[in-house]
Amino acid sequence: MGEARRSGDRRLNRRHLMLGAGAGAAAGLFGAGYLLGGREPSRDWERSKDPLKVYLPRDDTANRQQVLLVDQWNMRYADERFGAEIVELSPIADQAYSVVHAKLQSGASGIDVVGLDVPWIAEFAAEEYIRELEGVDRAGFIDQIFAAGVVDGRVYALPFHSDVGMLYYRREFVDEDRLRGLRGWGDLREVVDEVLPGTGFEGGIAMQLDAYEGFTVNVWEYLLAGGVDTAEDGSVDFGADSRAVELLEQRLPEDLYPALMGRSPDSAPRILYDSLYSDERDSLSAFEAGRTPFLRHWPRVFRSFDPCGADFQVGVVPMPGGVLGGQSLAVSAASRRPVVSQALIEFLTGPAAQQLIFERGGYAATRHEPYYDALARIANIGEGRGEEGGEGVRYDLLCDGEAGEEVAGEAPPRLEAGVLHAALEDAGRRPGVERYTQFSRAFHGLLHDALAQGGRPDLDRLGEELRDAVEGR
Amino acid sequence: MSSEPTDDSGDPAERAPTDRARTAAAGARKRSFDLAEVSGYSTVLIVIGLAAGVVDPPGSVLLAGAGSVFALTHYLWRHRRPQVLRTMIVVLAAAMGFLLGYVAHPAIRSAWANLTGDCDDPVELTVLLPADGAPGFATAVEHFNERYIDDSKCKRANVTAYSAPWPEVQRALLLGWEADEDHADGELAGFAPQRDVGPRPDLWVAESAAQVELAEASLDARGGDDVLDAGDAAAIGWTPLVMAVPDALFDRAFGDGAQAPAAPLPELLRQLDGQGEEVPVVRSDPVQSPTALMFLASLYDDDAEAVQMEKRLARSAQDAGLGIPATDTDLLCKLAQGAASGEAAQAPAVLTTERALSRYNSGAPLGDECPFDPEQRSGYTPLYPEGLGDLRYQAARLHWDDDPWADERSAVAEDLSEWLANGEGPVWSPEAVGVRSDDHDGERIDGERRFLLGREPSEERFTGDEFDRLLASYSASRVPTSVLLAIDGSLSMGTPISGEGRTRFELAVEGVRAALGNLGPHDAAGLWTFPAAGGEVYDVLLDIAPERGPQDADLLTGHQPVSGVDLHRTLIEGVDALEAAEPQGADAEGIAAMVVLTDGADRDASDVGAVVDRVESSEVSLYVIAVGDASCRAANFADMTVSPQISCLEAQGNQIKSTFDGLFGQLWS
Repeated sequence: MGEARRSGDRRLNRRHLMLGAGAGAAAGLFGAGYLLGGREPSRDWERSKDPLKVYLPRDDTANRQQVLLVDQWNMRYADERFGAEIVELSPIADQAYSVVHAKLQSGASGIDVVGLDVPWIAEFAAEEYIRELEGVDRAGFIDQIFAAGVVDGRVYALPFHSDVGMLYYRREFVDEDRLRGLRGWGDLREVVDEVLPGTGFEGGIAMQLDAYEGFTVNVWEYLLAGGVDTAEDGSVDFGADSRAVELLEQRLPEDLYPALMGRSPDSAPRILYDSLYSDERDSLSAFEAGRTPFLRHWPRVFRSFDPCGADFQVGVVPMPGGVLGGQSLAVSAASRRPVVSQALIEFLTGPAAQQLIFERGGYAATRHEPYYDALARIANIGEGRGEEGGEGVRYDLLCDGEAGEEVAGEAPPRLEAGVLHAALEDAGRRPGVERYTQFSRAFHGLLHDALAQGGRPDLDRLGEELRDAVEGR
Repeated sequence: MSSEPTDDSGDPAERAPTDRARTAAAGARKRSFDLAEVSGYSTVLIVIGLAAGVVDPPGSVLLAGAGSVFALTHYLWRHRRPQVLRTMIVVLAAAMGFLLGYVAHPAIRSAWANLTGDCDDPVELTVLLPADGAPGFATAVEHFNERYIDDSKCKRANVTAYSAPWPEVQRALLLGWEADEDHADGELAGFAPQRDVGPRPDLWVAESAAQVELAEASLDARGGDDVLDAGDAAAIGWTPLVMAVPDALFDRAFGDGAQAPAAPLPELLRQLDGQGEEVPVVRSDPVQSPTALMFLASLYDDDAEAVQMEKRLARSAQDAGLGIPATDTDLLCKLAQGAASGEAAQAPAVLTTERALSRYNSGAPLGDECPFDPEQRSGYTPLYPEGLGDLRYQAARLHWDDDPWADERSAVAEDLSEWLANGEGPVWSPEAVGVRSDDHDGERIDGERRFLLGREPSEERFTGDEFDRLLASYSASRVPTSVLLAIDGSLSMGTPISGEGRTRFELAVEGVRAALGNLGPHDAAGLWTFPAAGGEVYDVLLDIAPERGPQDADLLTGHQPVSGVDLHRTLIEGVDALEAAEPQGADAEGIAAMVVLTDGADRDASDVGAVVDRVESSEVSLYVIAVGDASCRAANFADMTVSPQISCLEAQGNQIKSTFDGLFGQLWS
């Protein structure tokens, strides 16, 4: 009896043991499956004695504000082993692309956050070189600018600072009211044609049409301002009979070469001929040297002019067809510290940082607040003088010394804030293609020489060539 | 199928105690085995869980999958029964399928992409080109990029080419092409190669094997033993060093058919002088340009001859209003501008290369200042004196240790080297950009005019040591330089520079210290700050005199900021001071320069003309370094730089020191 109980106890024990083991194994498998299948990545910031590596083009903000912002982050977090370090790259876009592409492509882990020109985002997202950002709060960002970092509904990059084409003009030659209503290149042609005769200018507008990425942007703006429609994905029809090809074969050469319209070859072209060999610096020099009454350029050059100078007063309005540019920040897919990297990006694109980028750095902010702040300050100054606010840039405030002088150590408000904000909100998109760099090279490669030769280019194969470039061929 | 052992003994009475004992022992074994097995599985599962939490995908998924398969297989094998075996096969097949799918994912994706017509991401390759001849090679690289495709016509590489001057490349190589905190206080302080020079190259087109040797030594010293192997560099063509002589002068001095004289270069110069007065001879800066450096080997043999020759070259540059062009491209551009304006009284002979001359002749752009000239340019006949040497272009591959894709890039770089050396018929050949391919056999060279197409390559070979020796010889022989440094000491120069922890003025002091450290024994220097306290225009901290050194920069450290800048008066009086300090007598020849660092243009435009007039009435070169809010585009600076004797350089706050270094490398090299 006692033996049977002992045997029964043993069986019971073995059974219990097996049941326990089975339950344990099942629980373990379930746990492993849970971890693998429904695993939520940890949101804890990853610590390291090594700083986060942030790859950015050379800081050309007015007071190296980018570096200052990272310094600010380090003051707060470096002691907790969340420090960051900037690796500065060449300010030339092609060279910066080369470094960033090589780094991301190799999957090297020594890169955490990367500054990307807006058109590169789609390419790197498609190649899975950058991570999708999770739980991003888009409130406060200017919609158009935020959207540039979204690919197929997923957020891959947050905008750090923005750029958009602006049209600068010499106020003594141009009726400012005419410019405020510009709807496209048709209107702009009319204004240029009114200004040029008898003024001795060499051309109407100085642009960036040398054989580099600036050519693509400038011509793209020309197309959008000429009434070319973009598809939902940002692409344009370059078919043989398309509006885009018509503009490139007919109108653009006419704007560069007056003889094609039957005018005297010696008359000034609407687009300065030297624009075909000009980058940002050259075109700015041409405008400053008084060779043209208009300049197409980026927002940051406004502060380099003296709007109240005795012999050279400059105004600014949005460039018709102006498209968005600028730098966005993304997290490398190979980063071993994605959570803290995203936190750093959110800090650099947050409201406080954007206020500094705009106010002190001279760049276009990517959020609304800095613009409203500047507009409120301008309105205050105006009200103090018993004036009502108006549209456009309030040069009267600046030139009377009311806002141009530093008051109690504060920087004066950026008087072009309203115009810039409007330009950004209405900005167009660059070509919405995954391989933008290849597209851009093909675009200026095919068009630049043809335009520089002085005739009407034959662009029947343009669409096909561009499609090949986008497909990587 | 049980694995329990059987007992064959027949007597149950005898068997009973034994069975019980065996059963008990087996039970004990089983229990202990189960415990061990269970604890083993638990460990495996815990490891799986940890791996999934710690290791990032795909590593964690593979590890977890492998662990699960291992645990299941082991358990099922231990307890195998027919129905268990069937289950085992199904589970194993599913698990293996999952793992196979996971591992094969990239290949399947790639194959699918090929089927659907999409292309793989092309290999990124960066190519560094020499400052001289870059446009021609860049065109070749562009052609290669277009044609380097696979069977699906997909691009295999995305090649980015850029150019940089040799001293910058040398400095970047010394740092292994990385910004280095260890050099924060040294000569390379503030120098960030990727920002200040360009991307780290995977392929470098050098102008001589000597440069590749020096580069290898620099990288080896940095610990990058395997980055560059000079022995692997591929020859991609050559171009002879030539003395380009104005046609009329050539015909008078040498006549037809005498383009390859056996006489040494100094004797040929005397022969040219024999046609009348001394013929001006110009060249680019030997410190910046390997071409000019290699000419030194033929220009002088001993110290006395060297000093005289350097005086003659300095005189010629001064007379032609050329300054010290950094490259042959700059030199020829200035000559083209002079010829176009008709200002040059006597066209100088030019020490350059056949390649540079071919580009000049073809009318192709010579940098931003000299765009394409549809009229083409001409007027020079090249002279090929014996033993002058050649530039031998080398394609050197750099295999960076920390780049996981170094092998892929190296393979593309090799293909590109081959393309550059051998060309592809009408699409590209070295001769298309004025370079002779290694098997050149008298074929036409683009832009050739009175070239000796049958000339054989020179036997002369330059080594890295030879480069260093020539540089030292030049440094000892060049004409003395007098420099007046004027540093803006206004309130705004106290602005801190982000990321540096120092102000503009403090960085300027570092620049001055480095500049004064480069003085040769015959050089003179002076130091001013402006404005001065009490309404004075400037403060003289040091008169212009020899034997100055880096310690003199300490005079700036106690400087108190002052407001009220009068830049234009400072400039005019600086030129006066330099003229007053010029040595007299036989050794009077030298270079005089005023270097001014300021962060604000003088807004008073009324006396800009007076500055320009004063500088042009002297032999002083004026260099303005604009920092901070100052810009060379400011109207007053722009108006000043119309004079060829006045130059403006812009420097970001953290580049003040490197800008000083670059400028003084030219002035005092």
